[in-house]
Amino acid sequence: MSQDLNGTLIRRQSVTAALLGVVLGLGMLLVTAPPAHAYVTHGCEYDNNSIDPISYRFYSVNSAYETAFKNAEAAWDGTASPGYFSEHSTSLDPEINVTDGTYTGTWWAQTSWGCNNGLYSGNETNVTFDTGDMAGLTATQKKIVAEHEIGHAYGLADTPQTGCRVMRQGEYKFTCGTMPAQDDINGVNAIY
Amino acid sequence: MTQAISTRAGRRGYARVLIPVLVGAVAAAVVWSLGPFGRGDSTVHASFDAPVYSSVEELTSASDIVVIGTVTAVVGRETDFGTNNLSERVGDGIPVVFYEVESSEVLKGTTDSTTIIVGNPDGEKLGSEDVTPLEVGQEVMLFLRAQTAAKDAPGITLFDSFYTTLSLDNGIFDMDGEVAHPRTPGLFGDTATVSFPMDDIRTQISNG
Repeated sequence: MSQDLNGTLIRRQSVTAALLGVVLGLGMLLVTAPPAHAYVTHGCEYDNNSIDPISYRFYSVNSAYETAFKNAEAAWDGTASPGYFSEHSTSLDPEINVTDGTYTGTWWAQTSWGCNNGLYSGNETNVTFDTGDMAGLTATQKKIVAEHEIGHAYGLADTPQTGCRVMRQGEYKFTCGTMPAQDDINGVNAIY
Repeated sequence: MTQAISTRAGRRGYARVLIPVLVGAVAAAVVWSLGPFGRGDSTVHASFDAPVYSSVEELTSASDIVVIGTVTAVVGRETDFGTNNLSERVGDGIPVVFYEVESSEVLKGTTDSTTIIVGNPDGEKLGSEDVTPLEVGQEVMLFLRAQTAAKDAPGITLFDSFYTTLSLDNGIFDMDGEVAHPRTPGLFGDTATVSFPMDDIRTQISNG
């Protein structure tokens, strides 16, 4: 009787230990396994049927920022990302409205949108450059900021502060060479 | 008989007016909803790109003043179109909110008064993880840049000069006694539980 009780206890302890080992092992895997990707999506996007092309229009935008945006959309177009960009200088309903100005705060640029059921309201986004805070950036840096905003227009959010990605906030992406990075491109492909 | 004909004619007259008005109204609504600058959803979402400051030293170096204080009031709201030229105003602009902050400690720089005005993009009107609103009664540490409306924010008419937090939420720390919690912990390291003892911050600022 006592022997049976001991045996049961030992078996229970063994099973518990095995389960603990499995949990620990899985935990180690979760901690050590590198993330499959860094890109993050913000939950809203263009209608899949209207990204060929994604039209944009400049509204009284300073030439330095027009150039930055055009070079940025060309950089995205040069990647294996879905859709392509096209300037529609007189369109009444472009998919990206590009504006600039000198705004309150110490930020470079922003992209805004309304969202209905995961799709952009009116199928459009607004990209705004703060010419005051971007004045000190080089032409290449302005282009990279524009690439970042186009990433937002596609539907990407900011990535965590690790590695070289155009969707990383701040100056670090200026040191990375050719952008967008593969992870940014993978993000857009995952959305569309 | 004559009255019946007259009534029918009157109805047709109404119809001649009402139908075009209704068609026009529907067309206008469709054009409005499809038009530029993202109408149709009451919440405007926004993502910003801005310089990233990943340490107290970097924030301090880029700030004109650093204060600890309590938010005492919202003293104004305005839409910033980035220009004071009405003919250049396009789009919906950026909603901006102005807070009054009563400073209890100035860690860097000087202020003319213990009461300062802080203007930022309005986190209550913008759905953005980069700009969370300050709440009246909150004690915060702010890393601030001086702004003059004429030079730095010409679209602002409510205040000639004010302060703005460095890179939106990056320059805001919530105070919990003698510990400060950054609103953007992800910019200060991989952990989401970053906090700074005030003794360390005072030392870093005084050394800077």
